[in-house]
Amino acid sequence: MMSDIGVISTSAIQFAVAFAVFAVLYFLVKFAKNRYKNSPRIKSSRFLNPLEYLPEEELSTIRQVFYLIMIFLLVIFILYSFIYWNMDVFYFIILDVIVSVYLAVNLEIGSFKSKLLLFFLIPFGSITTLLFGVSFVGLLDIFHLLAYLYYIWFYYRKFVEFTENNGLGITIIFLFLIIFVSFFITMIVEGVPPLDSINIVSNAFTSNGYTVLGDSGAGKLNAVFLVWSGFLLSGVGTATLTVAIVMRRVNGKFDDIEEKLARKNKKE
Amino acid sequence: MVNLMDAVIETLVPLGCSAVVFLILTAIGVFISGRIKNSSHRLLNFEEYLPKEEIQTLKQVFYLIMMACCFVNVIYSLLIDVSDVVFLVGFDIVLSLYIAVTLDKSSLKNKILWLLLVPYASLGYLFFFVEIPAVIMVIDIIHIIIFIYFIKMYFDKFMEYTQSNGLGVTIILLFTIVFASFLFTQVVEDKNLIDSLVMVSNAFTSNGYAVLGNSTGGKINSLFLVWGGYVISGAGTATLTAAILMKHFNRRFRELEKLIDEGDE
Repeated sequence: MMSDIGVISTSAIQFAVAFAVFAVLYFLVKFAKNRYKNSPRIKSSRFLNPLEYLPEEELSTIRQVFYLIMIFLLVIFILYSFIYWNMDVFYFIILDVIVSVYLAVNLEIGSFKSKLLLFFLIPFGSITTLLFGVSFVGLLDIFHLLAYLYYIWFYYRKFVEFTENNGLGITIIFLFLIIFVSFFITMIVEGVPPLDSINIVSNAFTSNGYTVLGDSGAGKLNAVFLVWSGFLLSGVGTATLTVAIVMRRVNGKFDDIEEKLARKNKKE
Repeated sequence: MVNLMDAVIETLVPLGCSAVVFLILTAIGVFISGRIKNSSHRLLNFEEYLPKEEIQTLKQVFYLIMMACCFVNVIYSLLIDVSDVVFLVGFDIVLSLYIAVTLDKSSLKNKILWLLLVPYASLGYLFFFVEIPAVIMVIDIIHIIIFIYFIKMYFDKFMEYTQSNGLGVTIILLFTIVFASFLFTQVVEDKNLIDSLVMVSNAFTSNGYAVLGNSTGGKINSLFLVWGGYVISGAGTATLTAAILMKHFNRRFRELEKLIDEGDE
């Protein structure tokens, strides 16, 4: 009986600590986001304007990719919660907390549903595992997973809406499907955890070889980020250069035709 | 008293010798760069190899690389205990020499900058000492700090070049990714400077997040190869696409011109 009370009180404290940690992170990020959004200096800065770096068309594609990546990440979180891989747990926890805070900060709070969703977004399991090790509070993660399931549907809807509104193609789904299917196949046939699988699949797709590259979890994540950045920026660089060359040559031709037309108009 | 005199002489002589060695190297560098700049040889004209737009981008990259090199020199010399001292010494000398050669030495300010650019500790380590005396270490701290000024100078040059040529700043995105990952990889993968740069360059250019090459020389060569391949494959694809498009457009232009000419008659 005494031990039961002990477990309950310990769990209650852990629950309160996890709640407080998440609340602090939530308000800090929300504060930073508001400062960032309302700062006129940031608004007018050339370096913080994505259009200065990438063509508008590429940014639209990246936005599509973002929605798909969010779906992908949420699926991985759900997988990690059900299946125990004896590695990478630390990075999974950190990523879970980051994604949860991101989703919470971008949630418009007003209705009861949104308040409930905000509560479900608190990654009790991840925070308590990080601070206290495995605990009963982690059982609350079942609600957290429900929130993630909701967000999978939410981001899919957003993807479809954005694609239709901007008249974009869905080639990106083809790329994503290849990656997604290969990710699962690799996990099963190679017997590797999700992080290694995404590392292998990313490497193979971007011509880096079908292998895990990087020794640490953070290094593997960095490698995934690097190979995709290289893939994207090499495409952007080539396309931009092509446009610049064509424009330079075509402009001369247009000038000739304009001159001819002007001469003709003068004669008339 | 005699010991003090000996110590002063033992410090001053290498300092003077380092300055003289650096002066000779600067003079040779200025002579060679002058010859290259004034040469009208086709092989030395970059526009023969790459499209004008690619050369402009490479010039932007060059300023950013110089900024990064200056930053690395400051960080590694002041903050980090480096195991590969010979490599860092060589890096410091080459970087200082390049900046000294390209520096306009007509003003007094730049003459003082040149004096501070002399890598006394690095040259001293290479030619005179096993352990660098404290006086030279102090002078070297000023030499290292001067690179912060050059970071600012190259950034200003980058901005000026970008604005005066109406160029985009996409290259900053590429550079930030590579540079941040370069520092990050050193920490998380526990790699040294050159290995981290090789890993990041390989990953970005689709060669795999791994150190490829066994010697330092080989690794540096691999860096030139992977980035060379990255630039030339992009330029090659763009030029080919442009050529195919131009073939199509030229035909359309000829048709248009013919129509105008027919209207004249």
